[in-house]
Amino acid sequence: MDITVVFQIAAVGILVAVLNQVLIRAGREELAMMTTLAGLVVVLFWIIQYISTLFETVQTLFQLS
Amino acid sequence: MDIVQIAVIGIIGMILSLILKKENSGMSVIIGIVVGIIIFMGVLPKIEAVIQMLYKIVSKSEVDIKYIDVILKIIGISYISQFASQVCSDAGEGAIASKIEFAGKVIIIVISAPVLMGLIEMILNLMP
Amino acid sequence: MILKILGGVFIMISSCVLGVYYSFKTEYRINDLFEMKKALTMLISEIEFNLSPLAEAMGNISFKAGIPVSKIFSEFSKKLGSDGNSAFEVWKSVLKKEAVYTYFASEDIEAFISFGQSLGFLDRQQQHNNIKMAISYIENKIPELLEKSKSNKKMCRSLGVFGGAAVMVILF
Repeated sequence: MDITVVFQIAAVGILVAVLNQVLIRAGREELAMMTTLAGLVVVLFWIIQYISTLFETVQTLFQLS
Repeated sequence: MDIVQIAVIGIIGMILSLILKKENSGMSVIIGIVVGIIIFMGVLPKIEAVIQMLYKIVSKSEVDIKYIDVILKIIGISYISQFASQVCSDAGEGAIASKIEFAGKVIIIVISAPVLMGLIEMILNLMP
Repeated sequence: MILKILGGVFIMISSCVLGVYYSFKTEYRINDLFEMKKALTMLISEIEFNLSPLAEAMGNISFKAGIPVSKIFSEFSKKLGSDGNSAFEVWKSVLKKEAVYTYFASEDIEAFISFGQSLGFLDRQQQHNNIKMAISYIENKIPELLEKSKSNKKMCRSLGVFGGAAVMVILF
């Protein structure tokens, strides 16, 4: 639960954005769209665990069943 | 985690999210969510301590404990619904945000229904 | 900790090299096509002016052409003497064998095979026209590839670098 996750997400985001631009300039737009989607999927994969931990913790903390 | 760390994490997250907002707006929303979760997790032990103290005070007094439970649940529901609704409105989806708030309000009313019933019964018992 | 960094550096280096390799592939293909065009032009002049038979013409050219193409022609002239098959069969088998050492794409090899179908068959004028057709195919291909390669080179290189960086961050 420390801040390196945020840096990883930011790094992936920046890399995906740069790759996007490079691929669009080179004319391969489908590949650009696919890399954007792939980056989003990878980051979502990290996030889902975090969000589920958050909601479980709040539930047990406030005894919401 | 003290307040300085929390503030620093928040500012760093804000800067990163701002950098990414133009290129990759989905990623900036995700960074907002993650920073919020990290800060909440950091404050968690302190919240637990406060709740324990609340329980001790209430058990010393003569209020029925299930009322404190209802109050705690209402606080929890309102926190979650506010978290989700603010993330949505930050991302520009104001409609979804207001629907989440509305759902939270409905659930709070449902949970506090027994307390209301208890209050009305008590009043009716008082009247001859 | 340091093992992690070392592994990450390896991943970055290897993916950079992959990107650079892919960017050079197109350039080498253009070079090989150019060599093939030179060899075919020499073939025309050998057949027209020297009136040499096929095996001898191919042998002569193999001395003058550049590396991958010269091997094709020298193998062809050797096999034409020893094997009993038709010129077309020998041409096809030599092409298929040597294609792995060249940077030709599969469509280039197809074009050369279809050119070889008339080898040794027709009279001199038809041969001449056939070779001219193969040369014009190459001449059409080269500018198109030059266009593609200009944008491809930069893209492949940066793709390699950033892909490696992305993999490193994900596995961090």
